[in-house]
Amino acid sequence: MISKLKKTVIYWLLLAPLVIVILFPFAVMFVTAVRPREELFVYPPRWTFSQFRWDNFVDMWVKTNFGGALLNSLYVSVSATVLALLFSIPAAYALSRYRFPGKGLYRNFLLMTQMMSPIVLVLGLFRLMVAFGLVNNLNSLVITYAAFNMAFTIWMLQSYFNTIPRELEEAAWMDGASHYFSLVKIFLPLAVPAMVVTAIFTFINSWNEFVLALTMIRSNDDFTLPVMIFSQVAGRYQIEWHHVMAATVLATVPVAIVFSWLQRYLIRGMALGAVK
Amino acid sequence: MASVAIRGVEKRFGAAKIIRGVDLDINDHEFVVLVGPSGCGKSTLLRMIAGLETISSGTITIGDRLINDVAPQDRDIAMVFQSYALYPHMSVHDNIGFSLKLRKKSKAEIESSVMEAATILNLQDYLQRSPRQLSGGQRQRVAMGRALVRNAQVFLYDEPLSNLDAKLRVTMRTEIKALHQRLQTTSVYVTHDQIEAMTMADRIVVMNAGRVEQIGTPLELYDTPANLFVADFIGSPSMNFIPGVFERDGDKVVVVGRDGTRLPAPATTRATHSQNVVLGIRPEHLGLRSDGEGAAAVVEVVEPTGPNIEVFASLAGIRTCSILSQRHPFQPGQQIWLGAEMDQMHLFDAASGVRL
Amino acid sequence: MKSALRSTPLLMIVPSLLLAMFIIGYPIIDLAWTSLQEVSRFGQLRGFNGWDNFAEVFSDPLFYGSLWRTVIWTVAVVGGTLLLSLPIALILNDEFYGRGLARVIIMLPWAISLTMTAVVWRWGLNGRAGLLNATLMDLHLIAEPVEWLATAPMAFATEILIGILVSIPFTTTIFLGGLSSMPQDAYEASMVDGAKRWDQLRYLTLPLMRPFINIAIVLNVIYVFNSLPIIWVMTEGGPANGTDILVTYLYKLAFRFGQLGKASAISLIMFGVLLVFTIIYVVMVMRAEDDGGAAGEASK
Repeated sequence: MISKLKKTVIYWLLLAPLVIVILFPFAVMFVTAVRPREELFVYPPRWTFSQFRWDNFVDMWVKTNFGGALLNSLYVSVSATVLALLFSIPAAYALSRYRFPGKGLYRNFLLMTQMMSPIVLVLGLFRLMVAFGLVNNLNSLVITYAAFNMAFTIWMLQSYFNTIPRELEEAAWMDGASHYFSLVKIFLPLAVPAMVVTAIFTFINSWNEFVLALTMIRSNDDFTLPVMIFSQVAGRYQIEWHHVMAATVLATVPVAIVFSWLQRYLIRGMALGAVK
Repeated sequence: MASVAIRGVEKRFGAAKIIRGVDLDINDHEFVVLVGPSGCGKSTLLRMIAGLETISSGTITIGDRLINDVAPQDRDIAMVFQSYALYPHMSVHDNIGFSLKLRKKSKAEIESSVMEAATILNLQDYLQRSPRQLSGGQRQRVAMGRALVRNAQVFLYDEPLSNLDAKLRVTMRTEIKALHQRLQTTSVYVTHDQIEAMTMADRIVVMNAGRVEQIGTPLELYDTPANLFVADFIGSPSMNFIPGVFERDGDKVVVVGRDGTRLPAPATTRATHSQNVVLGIRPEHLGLRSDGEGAAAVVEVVEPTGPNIEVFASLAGIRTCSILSQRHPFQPGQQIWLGAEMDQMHLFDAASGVRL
Repeated sequence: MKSALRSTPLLMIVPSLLLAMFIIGYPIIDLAWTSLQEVSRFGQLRGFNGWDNFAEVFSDPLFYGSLWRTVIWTVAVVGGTLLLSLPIALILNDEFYGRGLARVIIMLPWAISLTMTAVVWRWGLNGRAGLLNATLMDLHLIAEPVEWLATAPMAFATEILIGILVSIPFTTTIFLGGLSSMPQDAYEASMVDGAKRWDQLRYLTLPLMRPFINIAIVLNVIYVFNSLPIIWVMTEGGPANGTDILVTYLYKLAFRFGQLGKASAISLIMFGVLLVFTIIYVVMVMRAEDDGGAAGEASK
């Protein structure tokens, strides 16, 4: 038996290169975001800089229309999450609780949609949105994000629903509760944690989506955060890197914190059968 | 309270028949136990009475109401689940009172009913706890309490004791029986444990592969099992079976074992000469005889149980078990003589398994 | 009442089914339809031209270049990810001080959008002022700044490494899920039987992880094959189409060059490839469920 201390040292040494590479971009982000503009391009390149320029964040906020993009991202992500859950909860409940004709077919269909990435369909989706006049409309993203996340949310919710014993509802029926009442008073309260976790993952997925937002949204005012930041980099002669990094910090850090806190639920979900 | 009548009930899942035509009358106030090996359909039948499974064909009536198409909520039935199915987000008090709340009973009424049930079940001190904080036995009691407050027409129990340890199971068994004697509610109880069935039931229904094998009081099943399945299932350790050929030799009838041993058999008119039969003798009836009487057997293993010893011996080429109340110091390999009274032997047709 | 009950589950799945059909099913049909027609830059369909679009794709050297790089990209990223993720998962599944922190750090890249990651790396790799160069020069590993993204082979290799980095969290998560479902008693039994840690890994862990490894391969192949942001943000497929893979080439054709017929033909070809992998995945999932289901039935 190796002692836990010895194991700790060996493991951290093994993980060290990866940890460094993972943390490198975060360091780059912070160090650039607070660096004076004049010190972006120095030779030889170096990590250190003369002073913290917190004003970079303020300047960036104004110049890049960060607030607008933030609101757009929030609107799209929240709406898409709500929509996806509204459609997924009944479907996951049906999959978890009922036998019905075509159930296997429906599940395979869901698996297929999970595999279809937006990029392969992006041209068709674009033509669809043109036909409905939804190009340059954030709602086109709401609908598509909801649809592309649904397979995941149904999958995740179903695997959690399966862990809520069916007998609880049956007992409620025997106690005289209607289907609706037992759903509202017995099932849903127990399913809340699962729904919250699923909602947050859907939110993060929508928050981070790039290809569809890049395609559907044409005007600066409607950019979501990833597209806004990309637009600061793409096809520009002069890139204001300190602004770009300041924006990246603001756009990613809150999400990264929430995600770090939740990742163990994802592992549990996988163990419960999201993979099975 | 009410009687339950089950007529020609079947359950099909696609092509598979889970219940193959069951007829059963459960009288008012009666405690009926459905027993059988796992997969025999006993739980499915219970869930059909509860309304949790649809009835493929046949009818179920409670009192004089046909309930085939009545929702479980409206059947006026209470049920205790194997997993207890306590609502994890409600206190013990709210778990017990939930059904009354649904029936829009007044606060005071709920309070007194819950208290009454809690007193009967010794749960007064636990009412504010959540199910998570209770031991297995206490959870079981809460599940009982939930059924109690209902004053339902019928109580259904789906293997309610199988999640308890052996000792607690015996205690709860007695408590449930005492409760029934007090409340007299018609009860249907599912178990795979034949001892539970024997000890608790007014009548037992033995099921196998979706069919009823025999219905009767515990002692009827024990004394006159209708077929090999029931004979084997009821009683522990189970009945000894010695296959052989029935021979009529004037007045004397014998069963000739596979190794040629001639065993005396009960005189019956229903077996014919040279019919293949199975002779059944319960371990407690297969007693010791003085040398030269009965049939010779060779001791293989002796297991003391405390009050008795169980002697496993080879008789007519079969390993038999005898329960003896005297502590004989038998050694493996020793020859002993075993025999049974005529009226304590059972004879079955080898092909159909039917009692002869 | 019976018939109402029977239609309840169907009513519950219909909304999700319709939405998926509309957003995911319809574009596929539209792409198939478009791919057989002559299309103007502005998306007007000008009538059927048979297999012309496909013929054009198959005579395009850029398509073959992109296809080839897609294969390299997918194989290298998925292979590298698997090779790194399995030991990482094994480490993270073991007890050691700071395991919680290690898990959080390893999972971090997953939390951040690929776009942002790629933007930050593009700056970090900047040939003049990039902080990677700063670090390497501080360590005296290089004397001069390196232009990491200026030549196609170097840029492509860099993008592959970043692709691996961002794929590790998901893959590790699958493996951790698998490891947590390993039967503890089998490990205890093997210890009694005299198995060392290495034997346990070889005779228990790896064989038992087989289904999870398979799923990780298929899912990663699908995700990596489809991944646009890293290459798009860092090099836009350049220089001189040298880092183009199918998705970036497709995106350029559709939204830069307005060759919609050709783009929809490529979409359809990619859809076909994806379909093959998806079917493999569905079959694997169903098989896993059959096994699980059979075990569940037996234990009842």
